[in-house]
Amino acid sequence: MKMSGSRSDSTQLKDLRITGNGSSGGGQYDKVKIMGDSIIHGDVECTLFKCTGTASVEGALKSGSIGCQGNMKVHQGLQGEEISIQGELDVIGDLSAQTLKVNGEIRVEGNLNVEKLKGQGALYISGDCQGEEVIIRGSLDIANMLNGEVIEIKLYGPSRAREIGGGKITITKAITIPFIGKYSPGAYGAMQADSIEGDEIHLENTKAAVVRGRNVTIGSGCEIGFVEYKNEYKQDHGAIVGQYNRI
Amino acid sequence: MDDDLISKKELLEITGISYGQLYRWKRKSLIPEDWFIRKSSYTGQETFFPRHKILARVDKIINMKDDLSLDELADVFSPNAGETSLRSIELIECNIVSSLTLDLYVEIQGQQDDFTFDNILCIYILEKLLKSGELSRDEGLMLVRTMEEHYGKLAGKNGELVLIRKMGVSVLFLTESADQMYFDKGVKWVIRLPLASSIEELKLKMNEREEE
Repeated sequence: MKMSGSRSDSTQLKDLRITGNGSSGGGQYDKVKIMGDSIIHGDVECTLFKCTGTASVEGALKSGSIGCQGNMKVHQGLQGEEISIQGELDVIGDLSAQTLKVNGEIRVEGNLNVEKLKGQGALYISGDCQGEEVIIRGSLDIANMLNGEVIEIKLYGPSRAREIGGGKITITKAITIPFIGKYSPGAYGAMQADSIEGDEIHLENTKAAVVRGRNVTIGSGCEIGFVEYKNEYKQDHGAIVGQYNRI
Repeated sequence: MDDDLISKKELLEITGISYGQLYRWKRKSLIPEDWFIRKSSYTGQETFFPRHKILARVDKIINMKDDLSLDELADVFSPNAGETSLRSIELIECNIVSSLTLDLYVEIQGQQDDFTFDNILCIYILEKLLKSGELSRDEGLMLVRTMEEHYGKLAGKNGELVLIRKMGVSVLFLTESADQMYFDKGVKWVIRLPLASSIEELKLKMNEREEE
C-alpha cells in the first residue's frame, strides 16, 4: 500500500489537535490528535491519526498509522497501514490496512482487506473479509466471504459467514470455565457457514452444508452435511456428518 | 450455456491446484471477482467459472508464477494501465511493435518523445490487427483516433474494440461490453477484441524487456 506524505514533505504539513469538543473541515495533516469529542466534516489524509474519545470522519480517512481508544466512525472508507482499535470502529465503505488490531468491535459496511488481522471481540462485515492472516477470538458475522491464507477463529459467540476459503482454516471452541449453577449465554460459541474450503481444515462447533479440503478434521460439536477430502479425514465421535467422500 | 461453465471442483481436478491456491489467487486479484458465478446445486450453492477464461488464466498463472511474484502477476492481469513510458527507439529495439506500425502511428498522431502505456497499447493493437489482415490502413487511422480520444474513458474497465462493416462501410467503436448488441442482417462483425487480453499481452512483453 502506498501512502502519500513521505517524511520529507510531511515536515511541511501541520498537525491537527482537537481537545474537548471540536470540529474540523478535514484536509491534509501530519499528525491528527483528538482527545474528547470531534467531528471532521470532510476527507482527512495524514501520517498519524490518534483518537482518545470519539471521532467521526464524515469523509474518507487515509493515514499511515491509526490508533483509537474509544469510538470512531468513518463515513467514506478507511485506508491505513497500521490500525489499532480499543473500543469501537464503524466504517461505511471499504476498510483496507496492512495490520489491523482490534480489542472491541468493528463494523464495516463494505469489504475488509488486510494483510494481518488480529481481533478480540466482534466483527461485522457486510461484504467480504480478506487477509493473509486472520486471527479472531470472539464472534464474527461476515455476509459474504471470509478468505485468508491462515484463518484462526476461537469462538466466543455465535458466528456466521456465507463462505470460508483459504489455506489453513482452524475454528475452535473457546475453553470456558463452567460456573456452578450459573448459565452464561453467549459463552458457548458456534460457527455457521454455507461452505468451508481449504487445504488444511480443522473445525469444532461448526455447522456447514459443505466442507471440502485436502486434510479435514471435523471435531466435536460439528454438524456437516457433506465432506469431500483428498488426503486425510478425521472425525470426532461427537460430530455429525451426513456424508463424506474421498475425491 | 452449461457447457461454457466449469465447476470449482472440476477446475481443481483438471488443473491440480488446491483450494488454498485458488483462494490465494482470488485474494491477489489474479482471478477477477466476476468470474466466480454462484449457482444452486444439490449441495446448496456451488461456484462455477467461465470455462475457457479460467482454464487459460490458471494455465498462465502456473506457467508464470516461478518467474513473477503474485503481485507482479496481478499487475499483468489488471486492466489498469502500466506505469512505464517508453521512447520510440525502445519500442522498436525490444520488438514491442514494428517500425512500420510506429511510423503509421506517428504519421497520424505526430512525433512524440515518450509513449505512455496507453499510446503503446494503441500502437500494439494497431500492429496486431494490421498484421492479421483484419484491418485496412484507413481503418487503422480510425482506430488510432478513436483510441486516443476515447480510451481514457474505458481505462481500468474491461472494454472491447469492435469493427463492423456494412456494404463496404466500416464503423469502429469502443464499448464496455459488446455482449448485447444486435444489428441488421447486412452488418458483418469484422473484429471483436477484448482490450484486457491485449493489455495482458503487452504487459508481458514489456516485462520481458525489463528482465533483459
